[in-house]
Amino acid sequence: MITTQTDNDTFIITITSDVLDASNSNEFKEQTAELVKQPKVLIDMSALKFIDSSGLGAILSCLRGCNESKGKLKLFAISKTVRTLFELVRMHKVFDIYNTKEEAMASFDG
Amino acid sequence: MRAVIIAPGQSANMSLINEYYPTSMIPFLGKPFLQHIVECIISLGIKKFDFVLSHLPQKIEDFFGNGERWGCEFTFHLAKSVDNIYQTLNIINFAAEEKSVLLAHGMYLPRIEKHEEGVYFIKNGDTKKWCGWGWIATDKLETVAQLNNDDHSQHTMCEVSEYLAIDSYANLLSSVQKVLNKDFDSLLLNANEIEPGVWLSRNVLLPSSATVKPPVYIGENCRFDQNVKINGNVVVEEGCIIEQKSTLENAVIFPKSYVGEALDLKNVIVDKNRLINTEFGAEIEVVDDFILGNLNDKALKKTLQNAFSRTLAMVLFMVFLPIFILSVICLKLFRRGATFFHNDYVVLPAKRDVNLWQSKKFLSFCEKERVNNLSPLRHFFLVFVPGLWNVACGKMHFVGVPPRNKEEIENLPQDWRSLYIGSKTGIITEQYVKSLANTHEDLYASESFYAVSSGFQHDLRIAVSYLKCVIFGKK
Repeated sequence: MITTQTDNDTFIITITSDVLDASNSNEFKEQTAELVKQPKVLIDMSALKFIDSSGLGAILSCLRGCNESKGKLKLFAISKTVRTLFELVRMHKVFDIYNTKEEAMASFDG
Repeated sequence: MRAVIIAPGQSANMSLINEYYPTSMIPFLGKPFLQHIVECIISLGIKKFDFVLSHLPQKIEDFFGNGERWGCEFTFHLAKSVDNIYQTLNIINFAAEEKSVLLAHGMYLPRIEKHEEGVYFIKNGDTKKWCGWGWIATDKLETVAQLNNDDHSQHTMCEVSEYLAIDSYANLLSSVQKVLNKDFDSLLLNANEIEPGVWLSRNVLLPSSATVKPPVYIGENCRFDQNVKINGNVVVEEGCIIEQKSTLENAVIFPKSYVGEALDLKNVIVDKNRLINTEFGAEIEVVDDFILGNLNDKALKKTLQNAFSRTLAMVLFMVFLPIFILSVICLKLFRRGATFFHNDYVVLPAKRDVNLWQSKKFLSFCEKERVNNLSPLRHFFLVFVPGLWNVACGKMHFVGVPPRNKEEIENLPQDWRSLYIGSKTGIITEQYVKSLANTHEDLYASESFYAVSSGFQHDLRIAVSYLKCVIFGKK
C-alpha cells in the first residue's frame, strides 16, 4: 500500500497502490496515522490512478494528523485523472500540490 | 525563451462570473481571453509556458492541455490561494541559460512588440499600476510580488498605453469596445469582417428585419429573431438566441445564452441567466427562463429523469405502504418521543443568491443527525421508506447529498457550499453507503466527490451498494 523513505529532513510516503477507495482507505489511514506526525511530509502520488470519496477522506485525515503535530504535508506527482478530481473538488486549495519531488522539496525552503 | 502566466482566476468584484469562469477564461470575442494572451506571446517566438493557477484550474488545464495544439509546451502549477500566487514562482526550475522570462498576467494584455527588460505599467488616471507583465531576470523573480506593493526599486519601469484588461466588468466592456473600434488590433479573430465594423461568424441567422449598427461581433451558430436591434459595441458569443424586438447596445452576451422577447439590454454583460450591469456593478441571477436563460441546460433529459424517479418512488411507496403503516404503528407504540420528524431543507440545485433559496420540509422517522449511525435495516425502515414519499413528491432524489437547512449551508466553508448547492439532495447518500465517518474531512470528501461525479451511472452504483447493504445487513 505504501513505502516510506527519508530525504534529508523530509519524510516521503509513496503510495504504491493504483487505487485508493473504500476497499483500502482504512488501511491507508491506519498505516499513515503515525507517519504523518513528522515536521516535513511529502506524499508521492505518482502510482495512484483512481481515488474515490473514501480515498479523499483518507488523504484529508493525513493532513489533519500532520497539522495537529504542527507539521507540513505536501503532495506531488499526481496523475492526470486524480489531479482533475482534486481540482474539481477544490482540494488544491487545501493541499500544497507540486508537479515534481524537486518542486515540493524546494517549497519547504521558500 | 519562456513565459510564465499568472492566472489567479478570481477578481475582487466579479464573484458571480467567477463561480463559473476563472477570470482569464472569460469569453472574449470568440475565444477565452487567456487564449488571446497565449497567441500574442507565441507571436513573440515563445514556445514554453508555465501557468500558475488557483481558482478553477481544471477549466484552464482542460482547455489548453499540454500545448500540442499550439506547437508549444505547457506546464501547470497550482497555488493554494490567490493571495500568495507569486510565491509559486520560487519553485519553478529555470535552466541556467534562461536568464530572463516573460512574466504575464491572465487579466491583462498589453501590446508588447519587443524584448525590453523591465516591468510594464498601465496608467489609471494619475496613478500607475503594474499590469503583471514584464521581462524579468530569473534571479529577480522573487521580487515581483513586491511590485503590487508599489516597490519598483529593483526594476526598470515601462509604460504601456495600449492594453486590454478584464479585471472588472467595466474594463471587460471597455476592452471589447477597444477591439471592435480597432484601437487594439493585434488579436486573431475567428469571424469575418463582412463590412466595416461588422464581424460575422459561420452559421448565423440574422433576418432582414434586424437592424445592425456597427461595431458588432457575432459568434457562430447564433439565431436572431425578427426586429432585433443591435445598436453598436455589441458582442454576441457563439450559440446564442436573441428573441424578437430585443435591443442590444454596448453589451456582451456570453456563449449559449438566451435573451427573451422585447428586452432592452444596454451597458450589460449577460451570461446565461446572469445579468451584470456594468454601470452599477450589479450582478443579478434571473429566475425566469423566458427572460434570460441557459441554452446548455439539458432540460428534457432532466425532466425525463425526474419523471422516471418520481414514478418509481411512487410505485415503491405503494409496494412498501404496509411496511410504512406498520412502522408508524410500532413507533407509536414502542418509541418514546416523536414519531415523525419534519426537517427543513433547501431545494437543490440552488442559486448562488441566498435570497433565492427555496426551503421545504421533508418527512422522516429519524432525526437527521442520527441517520448515518443507523444500521442498514433500520435506515431502510426509518429513512428510505418514508423518504420514498418525498421522492414521489419531487422534493428529493433517490441518491444525493444529505439535506441541509439554510443555516447549515451558510455555515459551510465557501468551496464546500459552492459544490453543495450545485448538487441534489437524496435519501441515500455516498457517505452512508461508504460508511464514512461523521468527521469534517469525510463529510467534505463524500459531498464534494458526489457533487462532481453525480450522474445516472454513479447514482445507480450507489443505489445498488445500498441495496446490497440492506439485503446483507451490513455496510
